[in-house]
Amino acid sequence: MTRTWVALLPAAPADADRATPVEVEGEGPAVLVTWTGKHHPHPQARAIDPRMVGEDGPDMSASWVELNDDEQPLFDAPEVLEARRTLLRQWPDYGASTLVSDSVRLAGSVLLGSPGSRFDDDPFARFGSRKRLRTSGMFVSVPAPTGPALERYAGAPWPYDRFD
Amino acid sequence: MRINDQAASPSSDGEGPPADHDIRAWMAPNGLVPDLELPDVDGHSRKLSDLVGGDPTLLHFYRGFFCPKERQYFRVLTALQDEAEVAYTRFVSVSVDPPEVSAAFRAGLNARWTFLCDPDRRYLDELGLRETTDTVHDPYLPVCIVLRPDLSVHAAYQGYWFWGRPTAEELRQDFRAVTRAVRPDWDAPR
Repeated sequence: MTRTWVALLPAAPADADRATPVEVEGEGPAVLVTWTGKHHPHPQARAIDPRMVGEDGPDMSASWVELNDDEQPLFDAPEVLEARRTLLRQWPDYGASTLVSDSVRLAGSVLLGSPGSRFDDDPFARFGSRKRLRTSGMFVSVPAPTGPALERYAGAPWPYDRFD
Repeated sequence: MRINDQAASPSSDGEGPPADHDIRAWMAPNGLVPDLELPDVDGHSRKLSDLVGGDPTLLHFYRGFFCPKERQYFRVLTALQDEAEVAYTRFVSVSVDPPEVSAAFRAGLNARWTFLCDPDRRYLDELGLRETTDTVHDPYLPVCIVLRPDLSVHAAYQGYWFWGRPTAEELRQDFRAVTRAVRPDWDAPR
């Protein structure tokens, strides 16, 4: 199945489909890189809800959680389910996606909001280190999923909600 | 009570539920629900077909936050959402409450599904769901419709009287029937 992959890297690899500069709070500039394809394109690449990646997205703040292999809980672990329920109760201004690298585990998350959003209550921040980003152009706004369904569809990163 | 059952019932004397002729054809089994487009509690315009996607869906019209029958019935739905969240099944609730009121009501209920807001009463007459006996709030009639992914009606329930509303068990049976019909792998692949 074709996926949209994203990674936060110091510099863009040559095979990337797109690379967009971002500012990482406390660290400085970096790039958000995307690929489209069936295969995992980079060790740090994570699959993202494809609806969130688009052209000419507005200025946004993002809460970016990226989990190393040894930090990744099962996607269906109770604490991950509760984090998804929390998002369904209070959807971020511009959207959110879990990040996955396989069909079993949670590999991170990204929450999107208007510039200045701090995401102090990001329910995924408890799972690993969180970075705050300023970005423009890469992400587009995605409204809340219908709910209350929480399951992944054919291994896609939640909240993508089709079996195609 | 399912709409089909109601069609065989004696008509109202004015005190009870609306007469049979008020039930629109789209609510009959296999009728098609119009593809409503209304704002959600965040003010984003949402189309029903997008919200339904490819899953069985409960389309729930309710009077508003003010009605104790609605608050009681939401307890049924919020209990059922714990099952729906793992069953690829969706809920959409619609009222005339504005987004800020629906947002607060939804949060207080701990509901984790989409609420649509029709404060302009855009669809009340198109759908034939104006509750004519409440001239204060001018709300939707309480109606529950179990939809297939193509927006066709599997079952519809008119809840002007509280007992007309589907129980959780009736909704489970309806969701099972729709899921069986729309999932080609209902019988587990071998």
